[in-house]
Amino acid sequence: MTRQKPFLWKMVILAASLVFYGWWNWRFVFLLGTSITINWFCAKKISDESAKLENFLARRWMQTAVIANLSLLGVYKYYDFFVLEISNRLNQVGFDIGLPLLDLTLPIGISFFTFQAISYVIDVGREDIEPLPLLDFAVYLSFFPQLVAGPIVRASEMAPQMSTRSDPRYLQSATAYRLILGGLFKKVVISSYLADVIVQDVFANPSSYSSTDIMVGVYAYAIQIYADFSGYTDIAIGVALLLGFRFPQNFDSPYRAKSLQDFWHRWHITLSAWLRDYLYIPLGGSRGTRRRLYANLMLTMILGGLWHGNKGTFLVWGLIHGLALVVERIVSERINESQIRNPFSPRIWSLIRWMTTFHVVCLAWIFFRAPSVGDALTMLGGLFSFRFGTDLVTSTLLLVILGAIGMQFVSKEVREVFQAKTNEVSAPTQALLFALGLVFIDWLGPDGVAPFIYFQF
Amino acid sequence: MVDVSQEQPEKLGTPAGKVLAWGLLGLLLASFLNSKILLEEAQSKPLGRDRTLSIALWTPIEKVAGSLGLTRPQELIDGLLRGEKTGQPLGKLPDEDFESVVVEESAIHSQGLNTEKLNSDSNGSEQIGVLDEADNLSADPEVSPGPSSSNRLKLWILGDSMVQFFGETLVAYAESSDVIEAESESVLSSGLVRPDFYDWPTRVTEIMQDEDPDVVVMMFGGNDGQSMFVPPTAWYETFSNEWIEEYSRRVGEIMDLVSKGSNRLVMWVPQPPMKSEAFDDKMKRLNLIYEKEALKREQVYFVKISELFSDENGEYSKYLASNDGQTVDARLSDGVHLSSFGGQRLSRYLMNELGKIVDLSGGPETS
Repeated sequence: MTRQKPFLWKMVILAASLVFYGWWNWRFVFLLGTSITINWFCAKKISDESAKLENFLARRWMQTAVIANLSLLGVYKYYDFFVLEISNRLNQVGFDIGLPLLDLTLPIGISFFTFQAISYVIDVGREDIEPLPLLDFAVYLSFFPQLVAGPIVRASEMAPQMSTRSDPRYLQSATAYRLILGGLFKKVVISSYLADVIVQDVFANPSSYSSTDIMVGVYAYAIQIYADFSGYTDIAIGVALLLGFRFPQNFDSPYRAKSLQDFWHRWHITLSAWLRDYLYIPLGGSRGTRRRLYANLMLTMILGGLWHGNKGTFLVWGLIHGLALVVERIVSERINESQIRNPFSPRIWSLIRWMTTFHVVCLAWIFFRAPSVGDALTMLGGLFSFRFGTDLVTSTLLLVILGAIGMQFVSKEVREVFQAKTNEVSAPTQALLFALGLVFIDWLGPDGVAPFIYFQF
Repeated sequence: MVDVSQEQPEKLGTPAGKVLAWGLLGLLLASFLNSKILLEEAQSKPLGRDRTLSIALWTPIEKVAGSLGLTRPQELIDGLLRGEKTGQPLGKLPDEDFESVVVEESAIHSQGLNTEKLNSDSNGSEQIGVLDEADNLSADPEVSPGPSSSNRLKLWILGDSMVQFFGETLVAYAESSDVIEAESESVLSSGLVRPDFYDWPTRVTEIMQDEDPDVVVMMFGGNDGQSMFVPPTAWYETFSNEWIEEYSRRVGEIMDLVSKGSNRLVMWVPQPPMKSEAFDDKMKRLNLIYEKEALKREQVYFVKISELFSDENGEYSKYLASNDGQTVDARLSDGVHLSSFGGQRLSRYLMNELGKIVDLSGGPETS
């Protein structure tokens, strides 16, 4: 309601966001403040130099900002990893260089707000948006619903909503409540349940479990990470809606994808869009030779993997997705070129494509979740050891996994009908259902819930 | 998931004032319906202002909700989903501020201990003594006759969240032999100070009765550096005289629950060095209590592990050298829990230590 007084509203939101961020570690508020200051200043200089037609200087300021952001991320997230790798490799050949290790605590959400900052300065450099006033930019970068785990919102998406007052008579509360409850249910009930009953055990000690348990454990993890991450995103989008902001969608039933390309149009949509616009396309995208295209795809996915963390497992995860995208392109092109008649009926072919995509994604998740590449390979070994029987699989577990996958295939029309019906509900009924939903979720959930998976990135 | 960025908001929505008002009422209703659980969570918090404020907030709400019957649905569903809670009740926790405990200095009277003040607290509380190595009763236990594939040694690993990061690895190492069957059981956020949260003595009793293991590996302490409630009304401040005495009693009790009246061996794993100095100091104090109680009991073996996870100065180090000369991270980024490598290192060490006590010929290679 303070949106009638924009300055007051922005100050309140900024203060709330900084308190939210500082609650975990107050020292990192200064880090966030530094990022806000540097990026705002650089963007202003970019715009000033462009206005003076000093494009060379404008580019220099853009490069400075991007390097500053990547350096911040690099120091906190990757320095120790690369120093260790270099030291260990040199050690193997007899050189002991003794580079210092920093062992820094990773600020929560640093990958997200750094990427947002980079998108901002580049968009200003491309003249896609005007530089924002400092207060607006501070609110944009620190906005608490999406600060710690996305979605990665562009300044071009948020700035107009800050400058144009949303009509307080039309708050999409029904949608917001639906998203928040749905997100909580996915995180507190589904994700926690799957982690407790199978995922933690199987990934901690795969050699102790049968192929059946490992396979179901991998499927369970696929659902767990989807429920966890999309659950958080739903909550973030719902909270933003209550504050009068519309965030971009971040998940669109990713496990119904029938190709890896389609998967990346449905999973962590804002990250894949960021990688496309600020990495893949500047590298050349699909322009140029096929080899260049494949190299760009590989590099983009590998860097996308490393964005998640400094472990070899994330590198392999990105590698698997990159390879799969490349192979998919090659196969698709060859099929088109050869004009061979597809021996399968459209339905069977559709099922084959879906199963292949789902299992490639699950294969990559093994590396994403495993503590090390060695552990992931042990898991794969266990998976193909063909030891059957089960210690962990129950009918409830299977029901949850199948139910979660099944929900991915609920048609858009059915969802829209459901949404339309709930939108018609009166404000008191909305509040009552929201309250009952919160209580129900708390009762169903375990005692103590693990942090959101993507908070660690 | 609907793409809300594409929805047309005109004439679709509720006035913000109504949303705020009804939303707050909804949250209030949810608070009443859930007040019993929220009060229990408040009571389970460590002593301090947060706990006092939470209890002050939720107690009247829970009373009103109870009198209106609004807590009945939660009780019914809880009964359906979780069944009876195990463990001894603590009795009614005080709603008012805890009793202030007058702490007096007194000497530690225990066989074979030297008393030496480590540091002094502002209230002059008693310090935990430094142990005399010569009094380590279980330093050189006799090697027991070994198990066989037809008569396997039963190993049970239990404790708090630290066990989660090496327990399953130790199970894997142990079971890769033909002579051990193993189970790992870790309960996050648990310890010996808060039986109201998780009652380890009762659980340990159940395990000994139902499973009858031969060796029990135990690790506690990560969540025990907090004030302690002792029925009916006393709160003991952390590391006060009374706290040390009561905590020592609980440690001894759980050791006895495993070892007394049987041939069972207890391997007590202390806490490794911690990144946070304050937390490390607490863990070191707890480790002294564990070692002291272990020394009193022949069947309890205190496994010294600090050197496994320290740098050359004996301090916490995230990065350690592996056997092949590589530098590997042994701890997670929280500076507390063990990484995969750390868990493997500890598991190998524990297997080696077990092998010094029990003949595991045919057991796994642990070097």
